[in-house]
Amino acid sequence: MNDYVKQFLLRGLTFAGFGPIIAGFIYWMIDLSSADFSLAGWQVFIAIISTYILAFVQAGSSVFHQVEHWSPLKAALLHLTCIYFAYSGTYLMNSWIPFKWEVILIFTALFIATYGVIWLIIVLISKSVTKKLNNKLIKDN
Amino acid sequence: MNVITTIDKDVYERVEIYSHENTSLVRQIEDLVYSYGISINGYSGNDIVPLPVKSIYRIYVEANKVYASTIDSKYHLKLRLYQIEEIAGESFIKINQSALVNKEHIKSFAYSWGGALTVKLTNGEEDYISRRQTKIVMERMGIK
Repeated sequence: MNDYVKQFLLRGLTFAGFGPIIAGFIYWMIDLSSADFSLAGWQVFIAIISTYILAFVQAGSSVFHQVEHWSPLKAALLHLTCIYFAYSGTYLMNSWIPFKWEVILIFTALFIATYGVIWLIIVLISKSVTKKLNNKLIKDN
Repeated sequence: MNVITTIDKDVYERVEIYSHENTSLVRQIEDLVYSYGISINGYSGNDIVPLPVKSIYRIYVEANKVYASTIDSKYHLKLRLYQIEEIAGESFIKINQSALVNKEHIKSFAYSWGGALTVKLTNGEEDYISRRQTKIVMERMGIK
């Protein structure tokens, strides 16, 4: 098995359990702040399974940034795609966002915009590092 | 630190360092002097060519084989990358999992909108700097 696939599975399985724990904590907070909060058994089941998968994908896909022969852009796009489907699937399955195309569109736009900002920061850091290295090269020569 | 250079054809060639402490500058000078005379055997067809370390621009892995590039040629090396790192010392920087570049032959650094950092060499070659090695490259270039 490819080393990166092994790493994906290992990281995924290591951190997957945190998904249901965080979901449970959030539900507990909601319960504390809302008097008439209740969940059916099937809803709890879906929440546990979906957040387990979400945490698995989130942790596992972090390995994409370590695949050296992928460009940072390719790694980021694959990471974005992976976590987008994991998050949107989890949110929709648990009815955390309604199944309406307008809402999904806004959710998608916000998700991409957030990732875009992170990406811009990465590019600006690369630019700054390059400038420092070139200045040092000029200075040393 | 003062530098005294004496050009005299009759003396035994040597570099002597007087320093209060064993600093990184001392180690760099030692590595430079040691690597200056070191050669690595390069294989091109049936020929074995001793390659002075200073003449090597880049050492890289391609299809599980190690190669060294000079100003205009490419040679197969029968050493592992980590072994070359030990021999070449401070003159080479590991830029990614499969490549070392000679500091002396770096022309410039560049970045792309894809976020990749690359190093350009004076023989026209170019290779990427991995995210993992970026910090080390900066340190080796003397940037903290």
